[in-house]
Amino acid sequence: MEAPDEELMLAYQAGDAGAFETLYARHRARLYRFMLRAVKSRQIAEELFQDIWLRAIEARRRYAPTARFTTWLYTIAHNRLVDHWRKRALTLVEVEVDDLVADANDPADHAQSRETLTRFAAALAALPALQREAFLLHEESGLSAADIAAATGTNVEAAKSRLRYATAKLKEALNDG
Amino acid sequence: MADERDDDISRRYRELGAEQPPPELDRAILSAAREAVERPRVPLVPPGGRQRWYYSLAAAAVAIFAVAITVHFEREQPDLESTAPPAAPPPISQPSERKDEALPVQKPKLRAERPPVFAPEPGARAPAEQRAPSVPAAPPSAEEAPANAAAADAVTSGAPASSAETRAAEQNAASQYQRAPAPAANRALARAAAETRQQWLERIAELRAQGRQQDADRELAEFKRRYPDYQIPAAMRAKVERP
Repeated sequence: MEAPDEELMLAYQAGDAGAFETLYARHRARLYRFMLRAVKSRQIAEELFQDIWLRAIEARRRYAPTARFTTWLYTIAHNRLVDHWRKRALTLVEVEVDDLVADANDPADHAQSRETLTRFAAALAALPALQREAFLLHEESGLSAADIAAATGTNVEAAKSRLRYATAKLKEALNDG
Repeated sequence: MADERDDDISRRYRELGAEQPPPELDRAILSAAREAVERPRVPLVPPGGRQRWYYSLAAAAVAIFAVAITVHFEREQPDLESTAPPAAPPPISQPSERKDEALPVQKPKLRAERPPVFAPEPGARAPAEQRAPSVPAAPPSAEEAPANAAAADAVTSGAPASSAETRAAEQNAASQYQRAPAPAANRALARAAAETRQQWLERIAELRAQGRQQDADRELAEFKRRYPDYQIPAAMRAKVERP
């Protein structure tokens, strides 16, 4: 049975560097994609990604398992993201749709998939920042509406509303095809 | 979250890609995480060699300071003694000079070593009583002063008086001298300065025995004036009082 995130974080807090490696392995890809979908350039996304982890390392002594580790980590990510949004307009990293659908065997399916993903990526990029953030937190990190509310400093109803609007717009973009 | 989740949307989102952070980013973050816990916390006072050095230096400084203070006091005490005036008090023939000489000599050690002007009577006595005889210590005249001073030194074999007592005695002696109205009183004071109460009473008894009743009465009156609280023993009272 794997140790829960909170236990690993407490172990790291006590000086166990191996516990952090396990935590990082669990969350690195999701957090990376979350940042990648939330900012304009890959370089900035990677800078923010590294900065978030470094902030988590520095804040380890203040960590208390009163909430899920994921919520704590994405709270740091949200705050860092808000700082970034204040400086620059929110745009998404352009998705390389051609690369994503290149393995389709049927050329017709390939074309349809390419078109669908293009619309989906465009719809995701067109979402309002808070809705997109809520959607990404939900899809990438698996946070519940309550966790999203905690991580983004809002109430649960607002988090649910953002998720519903985001999902509805993305679904509409898919159905348009 | 089931309300907000849409499987088709989630699947499409997954199709956008499963990007991973580059390996160099992973290495940098993990390295920072290891360094953070392996690096010892820097306390306000570093616990390594610097701390030992600090305490050693502090101990050495305290020791040097203590030795310096000791040496300083040891060197200073002989200086006081070397500058001390002669142990015997100068003749107090002139009140103004006596006053001028008595006041500047204020070094504690000198005052402590100077014998009291009036010797304490053998036996238990209250401190107030011990100080009282010092009042007539001032010699009444220039002729009697050296003799009285010598007598006082001879009588006072020990028990150094405190500086306060000595200073009070000197000041009282000066004031008594200035207030003394008659030579007879001065002589009585001078004698009182040189003898104890017991000796005084014995002398009065001797006057009685010699038939010098008036002299004895005068001395006894002076004695009672000096020592109003002193209870003359019955045997001595029979000798000193007029029969």
